[in-house]
Amino acid sequence: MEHILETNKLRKEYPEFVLDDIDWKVPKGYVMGLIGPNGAGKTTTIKLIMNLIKADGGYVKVFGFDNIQDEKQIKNKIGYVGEEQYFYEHQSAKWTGEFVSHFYDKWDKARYQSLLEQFEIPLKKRIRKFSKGMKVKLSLAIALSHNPELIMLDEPTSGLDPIIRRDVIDFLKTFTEENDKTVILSSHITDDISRISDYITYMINGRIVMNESKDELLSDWKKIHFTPESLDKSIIDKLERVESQMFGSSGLTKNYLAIRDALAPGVASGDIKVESVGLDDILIALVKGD
Amino acid sequence: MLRLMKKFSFWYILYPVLLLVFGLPMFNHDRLTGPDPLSLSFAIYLAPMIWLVLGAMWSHEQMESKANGYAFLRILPIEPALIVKAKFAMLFVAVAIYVAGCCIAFAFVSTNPEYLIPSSAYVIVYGAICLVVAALLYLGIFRHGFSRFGKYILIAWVVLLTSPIPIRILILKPRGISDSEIMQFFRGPYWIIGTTACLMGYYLLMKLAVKKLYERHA
Repeated sequence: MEHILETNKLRKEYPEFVLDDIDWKVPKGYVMGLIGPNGAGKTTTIKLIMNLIKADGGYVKVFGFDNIQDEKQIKNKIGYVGEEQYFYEHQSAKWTGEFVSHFYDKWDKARYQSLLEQFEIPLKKRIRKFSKGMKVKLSLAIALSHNPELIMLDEPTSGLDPIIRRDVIDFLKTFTEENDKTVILSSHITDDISRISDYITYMINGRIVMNESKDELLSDWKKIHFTPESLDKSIIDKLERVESQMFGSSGLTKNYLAIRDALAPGVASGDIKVESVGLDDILIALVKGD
Repeated sequence: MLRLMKKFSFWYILYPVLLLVFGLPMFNHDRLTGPDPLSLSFAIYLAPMIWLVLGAMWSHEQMESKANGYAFLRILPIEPALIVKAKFAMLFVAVAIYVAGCCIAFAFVSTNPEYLIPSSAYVIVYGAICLVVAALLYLGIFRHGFSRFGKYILIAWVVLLTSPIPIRILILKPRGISDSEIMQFFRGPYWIIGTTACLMGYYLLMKLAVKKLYERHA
């Protein structure tokens, strides 16, 4: 599989936080969701990739190029939307588009205007009068108007109301499906990631703890509801976050395929129930188990 | 780089132009039409006003800081070195506008090289020193950020603008050094050497500023 981005032993040390030797590969042409609780190191990782902060160790290769030596060339092919949107706020969306167009080799003015129309962004209004949602959409319009090969979105929906959040995610879903782009979407809102991602990376306390395809992840992780007598103790011991409730117990397995056969009789008799889990259940299990 | 320079140009053009528009007529008609058509004192009073160009720098950086301009530019495919070079280039343009404006005004008043050359040289040297001081202040901004370092630009601005008065009262007057004697220095080749040294220093400081901006990422 071809990888569009690769980090090797990437390290950043802060007084109270260490991003610890991150080895990460992002496959080309897919949407990679980067999930983690606040302070896990998602933004630090993305800023290191964008060369917005300096690494203390390791390297980043994007499109096969070094992200520091070939920064300009790489940024020409990346569409970036950060958690905070920075613009010259006394200027308009029209001015901003014209200004940034000079720095990108493949700026598509027609696409920019079309995206602004689609997002209902006024051309001549000063950006400082925009709402947070409008600024995110303007950022997206800029990020997508120079035909980027890689789109990096760092918590783009953070702080948005549910309606605009859904708008943005739906737009991204359609856009990525239609244009076959590689996307890295970082968020602690697992619902957003779940809707559009092909691959999932979990990051906790400055480390990558899991990196798998979403389908495999969701087929591996299941919630098992059981009565103590219906399930062998050796299997119960392998479950995580086992909780006893009034009508039985439940626990998470991260290797459902390995125990599926053993569960089959209990499932057939109705003593055992297997439930699909969400990405947030997995995140909580990983955080608690970390 | 021209695009960035254009973006940065507003304050850097406005300040020197305003200086020239309001500064030059401050000198009364008698001085210009007296027996000494281009009084050397004219240059001595006019040159220190170049420190007002630091105001352009302060206004520009305050606006950039407010707008998070550096954060915005760093997302774009622009090398940080280019941002620094564009700012230094605009600073040079601002100083050049004022210096050129003064020299043209001098030439307009007198064509006598006895007065014209030292007067122009005096303003040119002042401009070159101003560039070095501004470059040092830029180093401070790139090292510490405008929010922490901006106040030092204002302090430097006030101190440098008012400095000719104490220099005159405390140093020149007690030693009996007249304007003509000061200007003697600007008749020889020393001012060319001094200006060249300042410009080289300015270039080296620009290189250092690029390094400081990179380090600031850490």
